Amino acid sequence: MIENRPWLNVITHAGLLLGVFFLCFPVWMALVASTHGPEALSRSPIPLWFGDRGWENYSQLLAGGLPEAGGVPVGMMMLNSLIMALLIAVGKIAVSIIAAYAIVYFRFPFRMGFFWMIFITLMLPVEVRILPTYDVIVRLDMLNSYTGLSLPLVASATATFLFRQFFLTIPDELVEAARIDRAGPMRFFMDILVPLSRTNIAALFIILFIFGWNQYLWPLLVTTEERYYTIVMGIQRMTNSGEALPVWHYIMGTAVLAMIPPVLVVLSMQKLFVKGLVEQEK
Amino acid sequence: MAGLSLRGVKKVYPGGVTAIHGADIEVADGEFVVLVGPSGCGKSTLLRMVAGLEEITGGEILIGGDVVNRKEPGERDIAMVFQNYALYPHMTVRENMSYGLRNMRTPKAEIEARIAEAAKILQLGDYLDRKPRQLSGGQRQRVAMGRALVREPKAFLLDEPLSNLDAKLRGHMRAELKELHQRLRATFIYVTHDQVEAMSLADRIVVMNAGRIEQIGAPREIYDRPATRFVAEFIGAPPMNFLPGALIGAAAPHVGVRPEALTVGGAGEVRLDGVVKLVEDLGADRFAHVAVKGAEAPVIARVAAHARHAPGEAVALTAERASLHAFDAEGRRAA
Ligand SMILES: Nc1ncnc2c1ncn2[C@@H]1O[C@H](COP(=O)(O)OP(=O)(O)O)[C@@H](O)[C@H]1O
Ligand SMILES: [Mg+2]
Repeated sequence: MIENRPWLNVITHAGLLLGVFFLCFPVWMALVASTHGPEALSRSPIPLWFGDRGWENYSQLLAGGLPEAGGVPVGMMMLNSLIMALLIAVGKIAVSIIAAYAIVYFRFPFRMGFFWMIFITLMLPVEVRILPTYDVIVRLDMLNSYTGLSLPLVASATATFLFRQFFLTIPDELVEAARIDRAGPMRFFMDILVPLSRTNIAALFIILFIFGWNQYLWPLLVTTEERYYTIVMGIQRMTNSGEALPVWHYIMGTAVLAMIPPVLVVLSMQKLFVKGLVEQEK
Repeated sequence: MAGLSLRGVKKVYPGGVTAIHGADIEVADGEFVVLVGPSGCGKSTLLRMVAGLEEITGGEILIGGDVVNRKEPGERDIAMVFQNYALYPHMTVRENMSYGLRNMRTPKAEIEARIAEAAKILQLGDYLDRKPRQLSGGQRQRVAMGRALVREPKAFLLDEPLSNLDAKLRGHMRAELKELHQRLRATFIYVTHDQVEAMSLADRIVVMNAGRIEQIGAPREIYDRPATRFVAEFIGAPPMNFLPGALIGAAAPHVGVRPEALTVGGAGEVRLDGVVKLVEDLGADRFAHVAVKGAEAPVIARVAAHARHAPGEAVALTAERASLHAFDAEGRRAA
């Protein structure tokens, strides 16, 4: 719909600005709160502009551990989250692109059966199968390990389905040209399929990285050692400070820090993503 | 380069469609053979069996004397040009052309030399570092040709390579292709549904219909002595006219006569009276559609460029007996 009426423009812009305000206000508050001392945030009215303790708060968060978070340095938790999120994102993409490759390009018994089996797992996210999965991880002795943190989250029906749909749009002639050019199955996959999928991979990476980064329940179950704590767990532990007042300035600081990696991923991959959309290959 | 033989080649698709009923074709080394026929007659199937992209249900295919039935496409030493070019979209022109050679572990210097040579022949020098999407249709077509060329294969297989180009460019590329063949003296098998392409490119034409070979012969031979009524109608535009034999006192049930063999007025041995229905002016040629009593369809005759014939005009068409083609009831040529 293309219309050109000034007052309509004003209304739409006002609507959009309101939306932006609602979305950004919590982020703004976190940012502001992280630069004040603990007292400023327990008093009313709470400040809406930056305080003077930003430097102090952040250096305390990054360098030393917080007793409120079990004494684990935020930097370490961020690293754990990063490793987990990367393992999940890369693992999911790798497994699903290979699964889709098998399903689309190879004829094997029960091919469609396998496809539907993968598809059905859409209905079984970790939260649903959490007890049996936990049991498996215990038996495999994977508690308190990066493998335990990421492996149960790696299988992805959605990504498999997405790659399958994409592969189905690749013309047969291209596959045949590659066969004539002596590209075996491995070469065809690495030289042709993967490069052609790179915008899909970028889009999925963004989504899956954030999915991995935001994991809460599963890390809570499989980690008991502090050196495997993730940042999302850390924030939660800080708010559960029991008798003492919650350290809101630290909590908000941690939240701000926790936002940085996903934002960086989105910003850096977005370029590739948009580029892929604009330069549509035929 | 090498010759090619198809011996009793059959194709039944899973699901039961018999696409090729048994084809015997001998292609000499360096020959340009065109497979022509209407859409769906099995041309692509036949070519794809030669390429190894389609399993051979029966018979044998030999390339350079070796049976290749069980060989992978990459091992047959052939190159193929596809209708939609099938260029790798993420690779530059140079990478597209070198991909097959790299897979065969050809030395780098050799690859470079071959690409330079192909780029020179096909005038692709300025585009080597572009991606396919940055090229026009004609340029893409050339790249597809270049990718085949650098392989220096035993045979080039082309499946309707010009059908995605506009008419003018098609004519131009057709001439280039012919020139390329004369220069390389390589074996070409070329598939098209366009009889003009077939006539102008081929050393020999294979006319196919519904999975069967109707006739194999030099273009002139096919045009002058079509073996079946199907070939007679398919080759030549506008197509040959068909009349009941009785109408002109011939023994054969069907008699064909090409539009250019008919003259308006004149003193031919055979005479047909009719009424002009319309006149088609194609610039170089002018064709009159004449309703003749006893003929199923209007008879088309080429008329002199200066002649003025108006619809409704009564005319007499004449032809020499020697220019008639007689066919029996099954559509086979009656000597
Ligand atoms: N993969 C296939 N499976 C079943 N039938 C096919 C397949 N490919 C082609 N055919 C059938 O085989 C016949 C010949 O097809 P094709 O060789 O593509 O014809 P052409 O190239 O002459 O137009 C057609 O009737 C077509 O429907
Ligand atoms: Mg075809």
